[in-house]
Amino acid sequence: MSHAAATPRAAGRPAGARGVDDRGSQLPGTPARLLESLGDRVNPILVKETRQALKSRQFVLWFVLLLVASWVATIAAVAVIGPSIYYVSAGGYLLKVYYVILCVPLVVVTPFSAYRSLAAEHEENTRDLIEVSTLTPRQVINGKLGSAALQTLIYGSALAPCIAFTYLLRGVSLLQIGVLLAGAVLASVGLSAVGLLVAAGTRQKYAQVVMSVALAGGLFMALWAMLAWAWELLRYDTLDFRGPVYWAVTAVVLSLYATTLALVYAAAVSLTTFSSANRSTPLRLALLAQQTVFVAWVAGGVAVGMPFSGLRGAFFVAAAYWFAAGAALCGEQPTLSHRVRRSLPQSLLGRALGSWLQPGGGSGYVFTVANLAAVAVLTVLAGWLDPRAAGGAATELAVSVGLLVSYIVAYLGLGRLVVTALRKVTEVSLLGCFLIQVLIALAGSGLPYVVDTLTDRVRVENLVWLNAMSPTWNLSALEEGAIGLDRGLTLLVTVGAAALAIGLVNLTLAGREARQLRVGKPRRVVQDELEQQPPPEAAPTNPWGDRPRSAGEAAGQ
Amino acid sequence: MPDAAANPPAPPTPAAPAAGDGPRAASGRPLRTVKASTGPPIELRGVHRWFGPTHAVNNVSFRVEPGEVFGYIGPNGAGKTTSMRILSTLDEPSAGDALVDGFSVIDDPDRVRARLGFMPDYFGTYQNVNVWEYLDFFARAYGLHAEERRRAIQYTMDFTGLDDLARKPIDGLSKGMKQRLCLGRTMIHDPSVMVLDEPAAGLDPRARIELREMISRLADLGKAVLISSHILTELAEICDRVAIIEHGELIAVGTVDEISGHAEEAIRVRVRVADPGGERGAESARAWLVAHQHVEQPAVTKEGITFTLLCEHDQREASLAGLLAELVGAGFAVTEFTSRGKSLEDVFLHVTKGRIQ
Repeated sequence: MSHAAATPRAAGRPAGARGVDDRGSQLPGTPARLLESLGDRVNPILVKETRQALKSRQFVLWFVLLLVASWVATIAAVAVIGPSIYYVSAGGYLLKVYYVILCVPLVVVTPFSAYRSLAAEHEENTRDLIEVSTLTPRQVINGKLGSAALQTLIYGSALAPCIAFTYLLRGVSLLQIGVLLAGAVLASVGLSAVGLLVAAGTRQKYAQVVMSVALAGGLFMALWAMLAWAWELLRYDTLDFRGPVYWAVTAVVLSLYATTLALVYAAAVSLTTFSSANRSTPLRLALLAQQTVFVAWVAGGVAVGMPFSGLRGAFFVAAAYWFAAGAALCGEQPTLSHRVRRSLPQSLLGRALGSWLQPGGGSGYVFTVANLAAVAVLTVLAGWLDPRAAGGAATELAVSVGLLVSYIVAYLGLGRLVVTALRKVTEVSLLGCFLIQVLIALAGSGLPYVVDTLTDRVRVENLVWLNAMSPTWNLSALEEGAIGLDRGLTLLVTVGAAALAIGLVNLTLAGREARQLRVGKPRRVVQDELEQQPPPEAAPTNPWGDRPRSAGEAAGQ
Repeated sequence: MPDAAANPPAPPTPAAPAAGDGPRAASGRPLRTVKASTGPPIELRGVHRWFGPTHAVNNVSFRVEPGEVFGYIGPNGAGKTTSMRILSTLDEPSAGDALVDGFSVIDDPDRVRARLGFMPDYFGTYQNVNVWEYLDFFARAYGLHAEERRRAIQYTMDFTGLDDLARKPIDGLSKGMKQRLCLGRTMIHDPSVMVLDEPAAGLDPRARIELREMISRLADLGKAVLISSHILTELAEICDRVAIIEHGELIAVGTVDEISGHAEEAIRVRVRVADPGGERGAESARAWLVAHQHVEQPAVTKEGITFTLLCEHDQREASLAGLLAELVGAGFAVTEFTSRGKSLEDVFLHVTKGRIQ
């Protein structure tokens, strides 16, 4: 049965004789067709969410509250300022009030609504119905995110006249107003994406309750941070858009925001994707994009004179980032579905580079280690090339970087081996794998501190072997100078050797994943694709109009 | 389960009408053209599903042909819903595969979804949405555009009898109407396969009859319908074949007669004789039946004499006719002779040996 046969045929369905709903025909001619065509292109989830939102008490209540609060604030402000409104600079004060009124729905209500919107699909048993439809996970998340953006737009539009009024009251610049509004909108969209990610990741009832509370708390903290930022901006007027620093900072913030949003979005889509599909590659590409942006900005920072300690700090941030990413990626299932295997790279170069972007715990491990190693190499190179790195500072940096890389390679590898062993006896979820990885790393890091707090007798024992397990213990000791460079090198060789051994074992296991080859499409799929998109008729090969036989004709014979 | 039992010969496929000038449904909609397919609309191949140590579905295999209504019965927790969720791409088999129209639910869920309508055993409705908006959303979700979508909604509302309730909020619908709406949602994209999990649960008798009629009409349109229900009499009336599942294992597949075959049959018979007080009355007939070698448990009740006649499966009619002739020959004035056929309940209890979970 072809897809065309499986979907309703317009010709086969009679037009509604009683005309239950002929919305398209209520407008005449071209405008109706244009509107209908436009309506067809709109995401179905967005259409549904908008219809629901416009009828929901929650939206109406918040919208009315927003309007009432802004009117009350305006009337109260005008009454308090009185006749002096013609010459005092009261715009800044009133903008603060309006910003509070705007940020509550934008930073708290809208993201929480986005979370509830997806979580409610679970509670009301509609998620299954969406999953069995032909909507893609990307469409689902786009629709929910689009709905949040639309709500943001509506709330913003409602308060726009009031915010314009503050400019007339003097004391604030258009740039300040623009930056504040852009910040609120970006925060609203970003936090809505986070809300969707949380909802996509929590399917159990108890988890939803816990995450609802956690998300609400997080959103109120975000609101507080937004207001604090706005206060600082209005108080000191630090926006000098004529200077290069302003544009550099804006570019850094926007690029990191965009890549983080892409990562959160990819994760939310991944969590709503059918398990046999490729849920990992978009996530890995988003991770790669964010790392690229981060490295580019750190390199730029080094070029314009970022303090040497900043380089070390930047690498530590990158290392923590890759540990968290690796802890999640290493938990993926090693066996690829036929569906994923249909799109595996085939060429030697493609398999050498592209295999690590494909799903799988082993490929996730190699992907993480490769990225971490790349950042480490760049950091060490930057340290050596920096003319300010005097007195062995570059070597110390290299030892710190090498040690941290070794620890992460070793702990991620160890965690992966534990997960692999556990999976032979029981099912371990992705979240379970992540927690196992984190717990193993925490146990290794925390053990020296636990021993250190025990009795004096234990404390004076020679526990170098125990302390060697802890990255936090040794890296802080290196930083403080408690461990000399020679001892640091010994530690690096020891931990590095362990990491190499664990890494090689994991690489062997990952090799098995990489040996999975591309498979052809099933005959039924090829047939279906041909039915949906028949190949164009071949051009005549001679003046008499003879054409080469098509594959279908040849097969038919 | 032997393979032959799991995959019995296919029932006759509905004739494929030519598009445009073929037979039309009551609504004027042409009956579905069933194209020559590469395989059955539904096929389960050795499906297993483990939930930890629990083996919820154990090596289940069966096929459903176009235009066939296939009943899926079993006690609570037998694995019906799990199998149906696997078929509907909402779950994955731990081993084996399920195919819809030749496409694997594991490898090609997108193509499966375009061809399948799933009606779960819950409503799944949205707040602040009316009937038309609900159907419109799902029509959009299945990629129907403009005129095609409007016709699909109109046809669905005509089919399910919801056209007068287009503007009514879903929250205000009765249970029967909600069930109609859910059936409408399931068929909005004209799928070739429909999977209905307990569609009649909680409905009143009238709504059940209407739902049964709608399902029969869907099968007449050439759709393969897989339906589960606890109400076995409902299934017996509309199903061409049934599969019985227990503890995750398929223990029988076929028509009711096929499943109950190959075994000695026990027919419940009721007889009335004239002259109740006379010499050849009910008591006398009971005494005569007690002596009959193929009769068990004869009893005189206010409805007549009831008893069980034992016979070979393929000798049912002959045994009944022979017994009637013997009764008449023995001088009893038989005024009524009624036998009850084997019901789906009987078959279910027979196959599952009456075990209740």
